Amino acid sequence: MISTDTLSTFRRIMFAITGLTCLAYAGLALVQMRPDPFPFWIPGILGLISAALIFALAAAAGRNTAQQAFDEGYIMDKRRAEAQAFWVALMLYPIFGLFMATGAVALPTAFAAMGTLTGAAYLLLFTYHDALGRK
Amino acid sequence: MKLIVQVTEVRKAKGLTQADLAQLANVSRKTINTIENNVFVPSTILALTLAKVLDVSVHDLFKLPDTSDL
Repeated sequence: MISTDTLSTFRRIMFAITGLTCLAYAGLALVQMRPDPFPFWIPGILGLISAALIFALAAAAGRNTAQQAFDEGYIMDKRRAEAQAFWVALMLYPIFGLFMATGAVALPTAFAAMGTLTGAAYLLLFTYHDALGRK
Repeated sequence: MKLIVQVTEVRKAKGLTQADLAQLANVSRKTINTIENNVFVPSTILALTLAKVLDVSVHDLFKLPDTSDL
């Protein structure tokens, strides 16, 4: 029997793994100054696998457990993460604009880093908010 | 304006754990915990559901501070 806490924990772990992978991709892209520090499809495919696994576990847990795990507390965490990630994503434009203007980062590298950082921001902020208040 | 939350007191008086209340209200234990700690203000529907499962009025669970405190 899959409990609500198990489903929530699994969701949080998958979000964290995907978020950290995106962050690692962006970090390595900037350190190595190349747009593909590891195969470009890994963050995207990992996201799809995470979504499929969370969906499968929610389906296996049953409607009631899934409703409890994705209740209005979850929606609050999701909205909070979306709002903060929006501003993070917006801030990336002037930051990377400055990097490109000074020649510190090339456009393909900036494009790869900004894309993965945008994804990482939401996923990791959600992980953070979801982890709060579980004591 | 800070909401006065008395869910913990009512829940304990009924001999329920957070997990029990979460199960009855069909939400996660974390949601109950964040409501009790005044981190999360529930929707009207959830407030009414909590009142219903605890067999009390919503006013027994949530109160606005006195106007003198505002």
